Amino acid sequence: MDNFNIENFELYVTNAMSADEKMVFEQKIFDDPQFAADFEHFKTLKAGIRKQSLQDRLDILKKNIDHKPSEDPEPLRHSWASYLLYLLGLAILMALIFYLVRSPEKPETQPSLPAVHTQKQDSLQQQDLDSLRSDTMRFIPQKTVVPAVKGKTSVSKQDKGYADNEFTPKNQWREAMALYSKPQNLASIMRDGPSESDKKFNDAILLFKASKYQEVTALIGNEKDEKNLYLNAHALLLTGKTQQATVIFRNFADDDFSTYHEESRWYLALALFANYPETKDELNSLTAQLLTVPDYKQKVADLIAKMK
Amino acid sequence: MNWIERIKSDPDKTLATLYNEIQDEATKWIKIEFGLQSDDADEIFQTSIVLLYDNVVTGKLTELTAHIKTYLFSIIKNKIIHLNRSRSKMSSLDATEILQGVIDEEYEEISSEDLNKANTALMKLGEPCKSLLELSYYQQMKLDEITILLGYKNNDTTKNLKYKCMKRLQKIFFE
Repeated sequence: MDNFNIENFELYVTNAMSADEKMVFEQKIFDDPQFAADFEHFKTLKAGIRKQSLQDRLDILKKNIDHKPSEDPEPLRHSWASYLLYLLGLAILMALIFYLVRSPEKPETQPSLPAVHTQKQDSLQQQDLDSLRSDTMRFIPQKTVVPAVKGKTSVSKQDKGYADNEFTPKNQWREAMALYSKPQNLASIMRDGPSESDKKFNDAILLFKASKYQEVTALIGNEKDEKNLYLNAHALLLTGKTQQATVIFRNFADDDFSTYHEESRWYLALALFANYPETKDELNSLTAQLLTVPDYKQKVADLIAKMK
Repeated sequence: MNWIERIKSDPDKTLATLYNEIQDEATKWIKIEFGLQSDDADEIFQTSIVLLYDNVVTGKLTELTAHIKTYLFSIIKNKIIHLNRSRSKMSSLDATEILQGVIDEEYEEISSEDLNKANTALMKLGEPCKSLLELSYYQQMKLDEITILLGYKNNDTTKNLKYKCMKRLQKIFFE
């Protein structure tokens, strides 16, 4: 099924063809078995889309409505069963109360640990925590602000998580970010019954717009759907975790069917550039491809200039 | 805004409102008129609400000449008469099954197996392709409307993505 065929199938099923076009189409169905088979598949997929849409609507309706208890009288056996269960529960409760009231207090079989031992343990624990904190503090940098990127993105090291060992060298990352602009393609549909993943995505978009990139990753870092992965890749790139960002962008760039295929190639180039010159070969090959795409031609030229 | 416009602009909220407003009366009527139990009456009522939505989306219902309740009750009545012909009196009703039955019957030329395969493929396809295809092929939304709604760059991007999604769906369908 190619684009041309899909377009023709759409026109035919929506009755948008002229009488002549319709005749040609029907003749092709008759003459070309592959075309006819593709048309059948198209109709099946379209029917499947409708069926799934209605099912989704029903599921959402079931979630949205006020569930009222059934007004039908319960069968007699259910009432008897409930009555017996109540009686049994009551009897067990009475027996328990009786047992507790009548039984004498037992001495403790296990003496409590001497206070000195506990204090020692506490002090050891305190020491461990202190040393752990001081170890950790060594990795947490003082709050310094990386200059804003062409007025688009301002990244504070501490707030945004920059400065971990795995992060890219600062200057190179800053150079890459100078060419970065936020993606256009981040909208989503909010419905009355969005999935958990949809809700997280929408919350993450708000955080992303507020430049809280670390929080974006904390919120959607474990989500596996395409739009969350894509948004997280941006958050990772913007917090200097360029290698993780590279992996995600590369997957999208390699997937021709992905919604984010085209844009991801450009952001992959930026992530690779942040680790330049180690990534030289892949970056050269990618920039050569991107130079042929009108939307990215100028951006890639700027990137190549920086590579030199 | 009338009911049809409300269903088109905010389907899920409108269908829930409609359900909550009419549910008591509808289930009582179903129980008295057709002798069904409360649970069965409710399942039929839910299915009918979704079928009402389908009629609006597919253009079968463009204008209401009577109150929406009257229209909804006629869907319920037809559905019960149809179901009474085909089902055993003892079996309880389930909205999902009724709905699937309606669609399967409507697409007689497509086998239930293929229809289920298409359904599964769509679930595997995931977002945003699923929404994009639903908006285009079921809700018949125009490219520029989808472009705005989904925040794509321009109509060409939306069109290309739609074709990609359709081809991807076909690929999954044959896996």
